[in-house]
Amino acid sequence: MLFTTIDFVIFFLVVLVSIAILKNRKFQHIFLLLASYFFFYYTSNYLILLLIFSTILDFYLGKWIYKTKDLGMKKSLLVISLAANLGLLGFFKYADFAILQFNFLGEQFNLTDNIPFLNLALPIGISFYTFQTISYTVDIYRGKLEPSKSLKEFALFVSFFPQLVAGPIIRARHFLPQLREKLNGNSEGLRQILFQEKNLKLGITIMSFGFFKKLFFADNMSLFVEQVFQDPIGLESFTIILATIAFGVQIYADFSGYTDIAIGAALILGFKIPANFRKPYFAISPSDFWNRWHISLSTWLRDYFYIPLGGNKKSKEKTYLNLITVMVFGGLWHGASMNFIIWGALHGFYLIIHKSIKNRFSSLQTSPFLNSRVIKLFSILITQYFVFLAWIPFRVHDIDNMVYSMQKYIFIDFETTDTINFLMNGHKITMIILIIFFILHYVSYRQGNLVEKIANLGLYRWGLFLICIICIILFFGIGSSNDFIYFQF
Amino acid sequence: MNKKISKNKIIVFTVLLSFMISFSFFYIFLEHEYDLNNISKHEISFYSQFPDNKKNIFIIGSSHLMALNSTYMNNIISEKNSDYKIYNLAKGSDSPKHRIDSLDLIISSNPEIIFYGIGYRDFLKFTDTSTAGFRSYSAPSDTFFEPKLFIENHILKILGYYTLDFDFLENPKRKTIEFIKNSFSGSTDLKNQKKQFEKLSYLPLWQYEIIDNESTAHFEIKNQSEINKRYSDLSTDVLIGEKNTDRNIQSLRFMIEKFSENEIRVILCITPYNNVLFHTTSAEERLPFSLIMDEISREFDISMYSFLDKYKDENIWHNFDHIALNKEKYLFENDFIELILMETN
Repeated sequence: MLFTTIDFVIFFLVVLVSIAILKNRKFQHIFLLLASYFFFYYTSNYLILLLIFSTILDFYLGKWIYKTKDLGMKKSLLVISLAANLGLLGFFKYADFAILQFNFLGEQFNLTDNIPFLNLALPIGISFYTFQTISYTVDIYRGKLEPSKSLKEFALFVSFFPQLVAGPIIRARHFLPQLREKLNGNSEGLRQILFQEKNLKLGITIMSFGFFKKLFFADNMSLFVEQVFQDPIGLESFTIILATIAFGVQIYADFSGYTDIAIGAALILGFKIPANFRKPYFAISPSDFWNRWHISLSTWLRDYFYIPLGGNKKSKEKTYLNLITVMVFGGLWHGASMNFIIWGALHGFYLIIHKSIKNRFSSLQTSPFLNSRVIKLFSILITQYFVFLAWIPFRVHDIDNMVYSMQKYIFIDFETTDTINFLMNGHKITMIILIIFFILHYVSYRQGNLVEKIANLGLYRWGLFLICIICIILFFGIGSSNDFIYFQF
Repeated sequence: MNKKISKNKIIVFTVLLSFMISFSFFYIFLEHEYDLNNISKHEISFYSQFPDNKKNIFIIGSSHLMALNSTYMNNIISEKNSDYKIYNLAKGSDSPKHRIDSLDLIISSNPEIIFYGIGYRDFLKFTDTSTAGFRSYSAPSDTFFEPKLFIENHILKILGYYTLDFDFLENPKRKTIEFIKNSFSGSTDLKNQKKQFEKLSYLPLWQYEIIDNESTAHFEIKNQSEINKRYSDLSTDVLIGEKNTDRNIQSLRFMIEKFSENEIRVILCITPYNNVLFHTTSAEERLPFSLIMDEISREFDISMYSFLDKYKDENIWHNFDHIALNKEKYLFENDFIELILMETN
């Protein structure tokens, strides 16, 4: 169920009204769980069984891991949890990719019989909820988390509809406590879901920003990006560079737009979901970028993959190997394709270069010159040049087109004739929207808590803000909204 | 507590009011700047000319049918002592969801037979550009209960949702930008006054702009190599929408139903295509269109004729789906006359 469809609007209104009517805490939570399952079932049908299977398995394994004192047993149970979750993810998401590689290898050894593809349905959101359930059992194993009090609560944590299909990947230790509250006599019970004025206003404001990002920026960029990258060969460098920047804007507006809608919807229901983006295009280094982009995934990879591999506690070479391994895995998480592996590898490579420079010139980090505004701006531009370069393999799936686009991005040909014609014939508005994006991105970077400031406006001004946002979407939308890109992952 | 509740109510009221104000602006703007209804005054006056009890045949459809010279057809028909009068009411960029706006006018003109020309572009699927190139998530289908399909096929279909006119929402950005441009560079009327339009006598609902250099709007015959060069892959041009939810398919169904209720016979015709379409698309890719046409024909028990590949190798084409208007051979017309004579005898 797309957030930008009338289906979701009706569904969300029904959920809100029902929660308001159901005063009983227990019923409210059961209703929220059923609504989340309906949300999933609506687009994924019987693949909901996978979600339910993961939920039940990890709930009981979590309990068992917590109870057992035998370390070997704990480890075995954790391995079962990891194998089951990653096995499901691997089977549904990567089986055909693996078959493709086997067939390719077979051809190198003159094996004529190819393994047929399975052509499995790709369950929506599987990459996200699998990572959530893994983090749950691992945290219990590490002694950082107590198991969920009930299956119902755990099921709601796994399936909570605002973030079910495209994150943010939330942790049980953040979410589960929000289902409970202190009752009279210091006992603890299920939290009553109440619509609080502050949450309601802030939630609607965040959601409206999300819709604005998706319907105004992302959708408007998509036509231009598609036109360039469906057949880029023969195009000039500047056209390729502009399309690359436009895709960077599109994917940010698309994904952070989705996240905003998810965070806003959850907040209206009284749940706080941590932020997933912090103005990533103002990152001053590759590692800073990963502190700002898809934060819930990068922190997950750090906590459950990079650190267990040894992190940066071992030799320099091992640290670099860990970085590249984690980033390639992160790339592969997005999809079973060489493109995502290249994208992940490029980011891994950037992190290694950055780390080695930082290690070699550690004394310069406190230099006033290197902390000046000019150098900071220069760092932002350099970082973003490489971040945007990596967007090319993420977007362009045909290898020839990808190589051509990357060449044109790196080795600028300084020709502009075709670019000017291309822009003048139908893409002037796209360029204006691109400029507006960077201005607003800068304003929100400087302002910090712009969303909160708007949410704190008086009702008249706030209403005016909503009218402006809705009007911009209505008057400048492309009519038929596209899918969210991260729904594919 | 009461204070809190009342504040929540005020917030909800503010949101609703904001939506109402925004949508009102939007609607007023569109109604003012662009006629929400696609019917021109000229079209209304055209349909008002038909006296009762006259044997009229209407050919309706998109520009694919513009090559049908009804003057030539009427001459031949009258030579054959038939008192039917043929009108080619094809319109550029027409599709069933647009044609439905003229439904009442067509019915009030009371033609005896309507030949409805349909091609792939009439049912063309909307293509999502943002996720192009990514592997799409996919939900299993044909399972025991699909709420989305249930709502679409039962509730929305019964409510007539798919025949409602939402064209004004198709690309609001384009309309807004046109408005802004016109505000700075003179009104649309003034601009249109500068343009010169010409009409073909046999196409009452179509006019073309005369450009300084020779107008190429569907007139010239192009040679096959030129057409082949221009269209290397037409697979997305035969990709059609979902049969239960596509607004064009539903509009066609709705119109056929209404014509039948008013005792107007409908005959479906699949429009002709150039050879390049059959070279650049597979039979499998073209199959869904044929299936849906067969289904509609069976559902309403109406005749259907296919011109799909009848002239594919003839030297009459302007592009892959338009026969040139300046042609020497009247192949399409002659076959159509035969069809009319067969259906009227």
